[in-house]
Amino acid sequence: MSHMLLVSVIIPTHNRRASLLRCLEALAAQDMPMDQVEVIVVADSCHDASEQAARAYAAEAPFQLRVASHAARSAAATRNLGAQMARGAVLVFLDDDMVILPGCLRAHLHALQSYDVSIGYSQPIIPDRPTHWQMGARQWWEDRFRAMEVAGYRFSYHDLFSGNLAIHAELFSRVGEFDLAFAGRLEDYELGVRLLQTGARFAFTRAAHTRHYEASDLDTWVRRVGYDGEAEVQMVRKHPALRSLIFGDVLAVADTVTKVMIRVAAATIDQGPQIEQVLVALIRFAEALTLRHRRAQLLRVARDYSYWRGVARAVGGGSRVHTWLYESKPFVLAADTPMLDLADPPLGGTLDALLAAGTQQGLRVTLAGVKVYEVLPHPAAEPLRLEHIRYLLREASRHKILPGVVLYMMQKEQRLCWPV
Amino acid sequence: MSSQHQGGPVAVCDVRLEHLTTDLVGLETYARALLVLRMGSVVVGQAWVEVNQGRVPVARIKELVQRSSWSIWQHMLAESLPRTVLPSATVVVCTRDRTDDMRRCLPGLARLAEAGYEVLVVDNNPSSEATAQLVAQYPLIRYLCEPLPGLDRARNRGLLSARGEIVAFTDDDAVVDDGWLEALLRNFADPMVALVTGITMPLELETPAQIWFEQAHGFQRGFERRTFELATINPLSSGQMGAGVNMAIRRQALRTIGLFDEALDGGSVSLSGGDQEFFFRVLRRGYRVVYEPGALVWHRHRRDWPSLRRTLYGYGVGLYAWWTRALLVEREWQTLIVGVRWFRQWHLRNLVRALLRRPGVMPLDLAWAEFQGVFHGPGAYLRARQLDQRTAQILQGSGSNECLDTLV
Repeated sequence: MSHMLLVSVIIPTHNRRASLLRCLEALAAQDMPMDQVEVIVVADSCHDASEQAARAYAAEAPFQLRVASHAARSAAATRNLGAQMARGAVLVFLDDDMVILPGCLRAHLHALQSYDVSIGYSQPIIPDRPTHWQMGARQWWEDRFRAMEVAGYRFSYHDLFSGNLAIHAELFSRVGEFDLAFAGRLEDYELGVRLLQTGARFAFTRAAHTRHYEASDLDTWVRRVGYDGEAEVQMVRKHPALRSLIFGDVLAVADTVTKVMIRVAAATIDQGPQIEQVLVALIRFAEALTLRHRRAQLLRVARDYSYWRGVARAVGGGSRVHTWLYESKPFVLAADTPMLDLADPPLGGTLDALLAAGTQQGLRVTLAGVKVYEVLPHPAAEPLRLEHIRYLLREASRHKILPGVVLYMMQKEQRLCWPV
Repeated sequence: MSSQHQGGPVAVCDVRLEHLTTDLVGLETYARALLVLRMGSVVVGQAWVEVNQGRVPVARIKELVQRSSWSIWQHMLAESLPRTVLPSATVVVCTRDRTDDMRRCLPGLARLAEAGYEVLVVDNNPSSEATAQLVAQYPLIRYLCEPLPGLDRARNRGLLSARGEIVAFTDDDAVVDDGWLEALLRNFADPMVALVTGITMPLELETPAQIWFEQAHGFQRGFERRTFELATINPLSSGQMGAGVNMAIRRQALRTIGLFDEALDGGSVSLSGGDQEFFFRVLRRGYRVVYEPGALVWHRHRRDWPSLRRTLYGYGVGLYAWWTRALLVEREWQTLIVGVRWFRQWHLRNLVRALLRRPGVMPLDLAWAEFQGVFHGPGAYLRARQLDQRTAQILQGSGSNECLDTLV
């Protein structure tokens, strides 16, 4: 079997020669037969001789290394080109700022025996003396991975990170690769939507471990949040079912700060970069004075401002933002939403039918008639399973479910302090 | 405080709620009792009760347990969570000339050693061979001697000698409960958690000093698991997260956090504050801290009143010593505000109320001791740093420190 090519590792790169070489050297230390592995480096608009360096490394690499280059300025196009060149049954997308740890590829392959997509663990690495920004970024990543790890987590489209991702090559071409319309941002989330719509099963694989050298900073983040705003509008245009999910409840749940920032952003599309610079400077000032609470507030203001300015750009001008939001309807659970009563749960086939209906229409979870939880319909998440409900209940139970249980027990005149 | 005048020792009773069927008996020498209410290894609550003819009726306990319903539910909820694989761990106990206390402490540690954990006793600047000879009776426990005095030096010695991914600390005047270490270790499943503290209950309440300390200070921080991070707590009030008597540290995170500051805590002129300052840095470097009421340690508080007075003086010195460090080394400007506010609302207020003999106040001598300590704190810290050049290296850059390079 070992002569068969199993894995194609695709590394898109853009002017990061040093980290690209670090990434390739780490790949050489994978503990699997190297004749089953090919590595494809696709350089996009590089002018730092990344391509030549990779070609030079090919001579000493223990695996097959192929190098291509183009000038697309698009991560989506670069990954697609790599996928088209790939000959392995499994594609592993790996970013050039990752260092892959031994066992990673094997763990991905193992996960793909039972799942369609394996999301690897990209451990964020920050300097010994980190900035506030780097500490926050690390926590964000670690928390995302930790959430996915818990049994019963219901994957949705925004869990698909393309930095360390394994997928069957056949599935990738069947769902139609990355969408080139999403050149800069969220092209991975968009692929996630299509994958979940075909019923793909996601897994988070912590053993597929890479180290990710976190290089983002506050300025780039604020700008990127704006691109996210644009990309989310684009996403809704492509997948209208997502509209309620992304924009449906903004007007209902937004607080004053967000509402004000929507207005300000819509009115100042052209002055945006200057305003963002001022906000970033204020955040840095608050950091230096260790005014953490102020900093958190300012960070939110900057995020809201940049995001809504992006949305305003995408919907075609500031005046259209509110129309766009009014036209986005929130999810409302219909009167005939399926109900699952935990005090008297249905069995077998009935339960499956109930969950399948709940995937489409949402689900009301009750306990002896008392409402304890509502699962809203989700157009881009895994089909609802009982383990998802268990997970949701557990997550909500600290504040929401316990009162329901207490009510139930009071109805039945049971003592609260079981088992005493 | 009133308990000082009430007199009479207080019984400390470990009440297991799963087996609560009979009255508590045999408490003839006590008029009151502190019930430590437990389910499994988790402390779900406590209650101070009267003892009648050496007996606390079970009906009375059941009544009191009602108040702990919420933590019992939380505990049951936590039990339903899937268990993960525990990381490897080393237990470190720092001691100095307290062989009697060590005699009580060691059997619990020996059980951990038998269960396969590494256990280290760091003997700090001992004046005799007694502790070394005592530890030699336990072949599974490793003995280390740190010749330079200072609790934080001993802790650092432990951290640098440990082999486990996690290093758990307890004190020589404490006794660890069954399940203590596992309860601490479970919380490290979250990679952002660098420090876990546990619950500490009194081993005995035989003297007025011990009773006062437990009621006014204590080491217990509630009966619910709590998570702290920079967004939710001011790191300068790290005291509410726990204490060094019951804590566990992720060794890998030390590269960013640094070691304990050897110019602080017992044995240095700063007298205390080493643990609180370390907790502060854990938060400052972006890690999380968890308080885990399932990890129980029993602590013998100081028995005599003069020691208690010295302890409180030390708390005053140590608090302002480490705040001085936070201001000068970490550039935590909020220290200026918090330091003044805390002095006004705690130390000064306590002293004034003690002078006015308000009900329920701190005894005057203790309030005065703590008040004095505050003024000695900043100077003590600066002196302690001068006294030790090695400390300065650790302060300047944890990353470049050669000891730390051996860690990861």
